[in-house]
Amino acid sequence: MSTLLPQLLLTGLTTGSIYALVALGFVLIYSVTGILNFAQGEFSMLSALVCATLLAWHLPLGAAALIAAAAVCAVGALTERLAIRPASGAHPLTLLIITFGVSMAFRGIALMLWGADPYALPEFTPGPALVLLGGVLIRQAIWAIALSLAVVAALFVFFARTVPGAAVRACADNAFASRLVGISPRRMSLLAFTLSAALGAVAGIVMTPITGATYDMGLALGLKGFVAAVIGGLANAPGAVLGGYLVGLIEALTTGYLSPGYGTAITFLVLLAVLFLQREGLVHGARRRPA
Amino acid sequence: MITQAALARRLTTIALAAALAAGLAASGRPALGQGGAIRIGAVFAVTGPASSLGKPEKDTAAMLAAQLAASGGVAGRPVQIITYDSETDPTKAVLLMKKAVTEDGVAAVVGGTTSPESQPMADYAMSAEIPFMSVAASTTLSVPARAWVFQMPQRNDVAAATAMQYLVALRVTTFAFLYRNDDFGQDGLVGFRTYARQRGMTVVDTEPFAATDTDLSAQVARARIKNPQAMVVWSTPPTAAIAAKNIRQLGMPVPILESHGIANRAFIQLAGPAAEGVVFPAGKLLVAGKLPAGDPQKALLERYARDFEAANKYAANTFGGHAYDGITMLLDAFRHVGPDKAGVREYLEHLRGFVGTGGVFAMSPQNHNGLSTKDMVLVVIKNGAWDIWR
Amino acid sequence: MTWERAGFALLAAGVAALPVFVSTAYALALLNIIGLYAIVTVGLVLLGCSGQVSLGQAAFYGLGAYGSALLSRGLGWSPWLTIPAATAAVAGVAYAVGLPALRLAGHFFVLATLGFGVIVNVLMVQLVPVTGGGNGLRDIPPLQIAGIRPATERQFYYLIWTLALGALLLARNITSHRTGRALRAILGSEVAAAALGVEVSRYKMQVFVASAAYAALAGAVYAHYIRFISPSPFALYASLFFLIMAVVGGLTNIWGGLFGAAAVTVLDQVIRAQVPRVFPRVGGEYQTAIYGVLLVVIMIFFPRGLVRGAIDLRHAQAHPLPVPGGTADAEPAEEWRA
Repeated sequence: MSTLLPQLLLTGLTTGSIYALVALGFVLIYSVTGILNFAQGEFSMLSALVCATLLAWHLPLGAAALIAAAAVCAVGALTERLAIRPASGAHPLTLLIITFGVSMAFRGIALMLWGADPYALPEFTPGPALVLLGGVLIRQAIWAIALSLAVVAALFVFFARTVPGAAVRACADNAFASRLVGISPRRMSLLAFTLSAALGAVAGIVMTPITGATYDMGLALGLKGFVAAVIGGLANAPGAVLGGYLVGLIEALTTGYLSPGYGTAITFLVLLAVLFLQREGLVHGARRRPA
Repeated sequence: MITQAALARRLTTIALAAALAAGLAASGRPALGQGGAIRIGAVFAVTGPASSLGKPEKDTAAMLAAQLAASGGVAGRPVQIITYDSETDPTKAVLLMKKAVTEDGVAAVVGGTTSPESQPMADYAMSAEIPFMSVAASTTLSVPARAWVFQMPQRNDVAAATAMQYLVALRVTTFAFLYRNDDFGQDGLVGFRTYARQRGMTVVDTEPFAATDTDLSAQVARARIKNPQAMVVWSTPPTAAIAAKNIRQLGMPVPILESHGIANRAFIQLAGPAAEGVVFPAGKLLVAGKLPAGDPQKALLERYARDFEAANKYAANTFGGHAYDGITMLLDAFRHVGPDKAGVREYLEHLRGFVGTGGVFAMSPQNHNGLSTKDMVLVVIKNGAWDIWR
Repeated sequence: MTWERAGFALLAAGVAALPVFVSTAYALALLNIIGLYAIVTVGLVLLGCSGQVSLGQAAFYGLGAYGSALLSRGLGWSPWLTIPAATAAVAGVAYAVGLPALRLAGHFFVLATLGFGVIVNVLMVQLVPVTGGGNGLRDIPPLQIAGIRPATERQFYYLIWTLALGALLLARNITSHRTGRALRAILGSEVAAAALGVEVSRYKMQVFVASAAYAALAGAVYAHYIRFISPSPFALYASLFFLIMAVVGGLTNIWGGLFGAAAVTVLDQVIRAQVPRVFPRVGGEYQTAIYGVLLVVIMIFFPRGLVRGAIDLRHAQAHPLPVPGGTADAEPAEEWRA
């Protein structure tokens, strides 16, 4: 059992990095627009598959990754314009169903273009895996963790130090007041979707050398990211990142120590227990948590 | 008082409802007998979790339909193949089969990509008395044999028995079994446990995982503790490839035995160097080129692979082959006895020596599958290509 | 009110008469599926009346199915007994789940129902000796309606639609009387409702258990209808589709449950049948993409569902789900297309 724990921790950190990115994407869109974007996972899927195709056309990996990410950002922006904007002001559930419809459309198109088989991406820096404290960490996993942390850091700098970032934060905090000072919620919505798409793209491209990419990978990924985001408080960016790592670690630990078959179930039980016990999401008596 | 906009909405709602109703009414086809066309219904999981199996099956059906249209059909009568997407949903699968039988007038049905879809379809075939060629591999579909149900793939227990021959040849006494936690993986577990007991081998560890898992290091690490002499993985890509990679990454040098689910180029691409040396049971399609010239399947397999790739722009695989077998077997029956359902059933039940992609079928009233371990080979991956393991 | 009574009578008459015109096994089977889904969806709408959203209805549906299947297969009881028994048992499960879950607010409640659904699905797959695991349960005893032969498609049609109309009626009764007023008050604001003396948690529990019972009843009938069940139709994807049916129909209107289930199911079938006529040689991929696009379009043009709620949703704009930043509150009529 002594070599199990380090391995599980390393695995949990790796998968947690991916979930953190997806969760951030959720939180970004939710905090600015109030929408739960069920198509978040699809951004990762599209970027991975586009990158694989560009590679097959003999582009170098770096260029392929950048172009794929840019393409997915465009897709995110288009989604906001074509599917979200016309329904602005609708009930959040309606918008959620719209994003679900978008995810179905993306899946169908992906199945048309790329078929049902998985695609591979090469590791960024091929080479032997590292042995760390009794556990094995493959190089791509280091890329996943490092890129995830770098993106999170860059995002925080963006929010704290730049004007557009401050505008996004303001809009997330209070849309009404933001309009009073001249920030356009529509523009912020577009920015949120584009940025979230970028986050999803990074997650997709960095995880595919480890896991492969299939047209339906977005569903499970989006679900895990959603769970992580809700754990973190849903309108809370650092919370989302922590939530992502938490989900990854709990998943690895329950699979490793308790039972792989029941792993998912136990993970959810633990998460629900955490939720319930921390009381952050509870309605205290009849008092509703202020919006 | 009703605003104009609200009125417009109500009218649109009514129009939508009417359009849907009309579409539903119009979606049936004219009854059999028009131009004497014979119809085959093909219900596959083109979308959903099993689409990597269902799409090649559908594409095979489409390819055959085109060939039939070009050649004028069978015994002078045109043959149409109508495909339906069951979305890997057993409810939809049996619903679409009812549509095929009661509205589209098909003479027989091919399909049921996954075993959970095939089961209710088989039940309906029995009550509607229509020949059903299942493309799913669960043993219970043809054991015990049911009058109207025929099974095209090699059964899961047959695949497990074939795979077991590898472990026997290597003389291992202990192995770990990692499996996808669904009907496919669980069938494999049962098969391997049974055969291990018969051979005096010990299954030291069993580790399930989900089809959507992205990392299996935890399962591999747990198995590694028990020191198995071989690792058996029963799943399809991507998890099958992830498992192989994790096994090598965690430094286990033991032989890896996988299932017939990895009979797909994607496995080699995904697993990279970890695919080297992996052995798995498969129908002979993958190694058609390496078969001796006298093999009865060789010509058919090479032709199928060539035609499929030309029509669909991706390589053929064994799942599409099951659809091929189901349809060509029906065509053979139509050629001999016409589209009479009972006659087709009778004919199929006594069909022997039929060369298909899955093997050479020997049907009988007690055996509606007709394949055995002699129809499978052990394939090894060497230098990124498939070869027959010896 | 009388319009609604007339409408209901018309619906009942139409349902009774339909098999005369539409009699292929396929059409009846499709209507049977719609009927079962309608029962689940009406339950979901009932839940929606209190402002709660569940992503776990498929789990209750599945529990009803497995419950009735196991009781009739294992103990040899008649399905006429096991169906109500399973429904009651699942209602009990819902009560136990609701005790902690209903104390969570908004999105956390949704996550709890989602988690419940995942856990139940895992149990279905893992408890192989009991549930058959991934291979499912076969040879579920048939329902016998008149005589010893298993019920026919047509007999199932009458049974299912009697249940569906009954469910609709019951839900309508719940929402139009005291409970309904209490629910509407809760929908508007739990704080205000509590201040007015409404026992918020009691009513929330009632509709939660009711919605689970509806789903379980539908699931139990399903088990004896298809006579084979496996874990896959009872996963998250199914829960999502039940939610879609409810929202497309109109989440706070009971009729919306029926229309939503019908519209979503029929839309799927029509797309899959008609698309190959326009694009020959095309498979399910196109239909999935087109379905997704159509779903988006329908929700853009009918954001409050296909059936406009009788309940004034303007009160509901205070949002049962907390929306940070007050985005929607801050943009009333000018952004809202009536």
